[in-house]
Amino acid sequence: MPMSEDEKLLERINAGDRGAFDELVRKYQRELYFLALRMVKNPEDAEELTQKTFVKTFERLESFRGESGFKTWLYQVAINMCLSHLRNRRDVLELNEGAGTIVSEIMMPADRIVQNETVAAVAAAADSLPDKQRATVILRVFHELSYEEIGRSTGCSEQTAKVNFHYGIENLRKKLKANGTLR
Amino acid sequence: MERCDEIKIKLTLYADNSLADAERAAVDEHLSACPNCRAALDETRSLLDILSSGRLQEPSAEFMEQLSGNVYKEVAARDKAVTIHSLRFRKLTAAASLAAAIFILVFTAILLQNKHSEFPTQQALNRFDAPEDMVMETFTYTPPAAKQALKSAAQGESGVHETATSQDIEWVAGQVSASMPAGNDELLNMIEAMSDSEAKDMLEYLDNPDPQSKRAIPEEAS
Repeated sequence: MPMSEDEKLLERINAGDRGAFDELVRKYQRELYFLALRMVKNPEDAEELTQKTFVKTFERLESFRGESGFKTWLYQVAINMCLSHLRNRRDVLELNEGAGTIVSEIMMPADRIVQNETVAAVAAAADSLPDKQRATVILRVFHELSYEEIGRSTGCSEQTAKVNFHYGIENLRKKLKANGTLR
Repeated sequence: MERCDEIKIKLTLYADNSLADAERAAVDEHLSACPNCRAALDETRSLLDILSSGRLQEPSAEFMEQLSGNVYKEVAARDKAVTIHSLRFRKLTAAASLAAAIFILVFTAILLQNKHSEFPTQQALNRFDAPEDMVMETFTYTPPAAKQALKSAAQGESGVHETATSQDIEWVAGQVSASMPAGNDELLNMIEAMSDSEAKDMLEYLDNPDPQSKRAIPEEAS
């Protein structure tokens, strides 16, 4: 089987080619940033998570066996990073709420460029989905991963990824009907 | 024909264009007779269209420009930290392999320069300024396997070279940044240029059976 473009880059990186390292990071940095931004909704956090994702991926490069593609592996690390970040942030928010701190500043949404109110309402409703459903919807709608790739990235089977996508969309529909966006 | 509640998930996947042909045909059959599910399908499609039309602000140019360099620095710094940690607390299989790789690089160069001599001269080997107590152990290889084993060692893989004394490792660590990975390609090319029997000879030489003599270098043939 011929080597994929990513595998060729990885081979060059293993041989010490710094140019290949830069090339691989540049290839995926934008989409990983957007994935992180959609997940955590904060540009600074998204930048930090994107960098951490690459660092962790390259640190674990020796354990990459190539059963799934490098991109799927990268997404798996990114999703785990984002979910962990969200869990930690919720812990902080719960602590702050207990102390009476105003938390709305921390939860400022990302700088979205929205076309109209409906798009904004759908985006806001999507942000409130459970993490795994939201991750699945984001990976499918915006990153166009296959359900098999989504399953690998989110640590579940392909079938579970399909079910998560369905319930993500169904929950979105219910939320939008409840707030009057959908009739 | 499937009931409405039986095709709910399929309907979402239908709107997402990710159903297999057979399943798609079954949903088509249902849709042809069910106006409620046709309406639900239209709604799901609209929802997906609206969702996918949301745009995000591009990341800053500074972030995009600097990311690769920042990642590289962080990975390099952590690699170094791991090496130092390993030097103190582990068996250092990887570092030992690297020691073997550097040793092989010098040895191969000498061997290729001196084709008439079966083993390198003591004088020539002294140019390889390794600690006197360096101990290397390898296994017995058939000639083709020997060549592959040398390549593995050159690429820093573990398993070819099992042990090195802790004193060796510090010396090796000092050589690593200067010698690798720039020397890696050169080393691989050298090994590639060797015959199978030369590779086997080299491994047998490295596989010193007498731990007391350690660097038991054969004397130069007079």
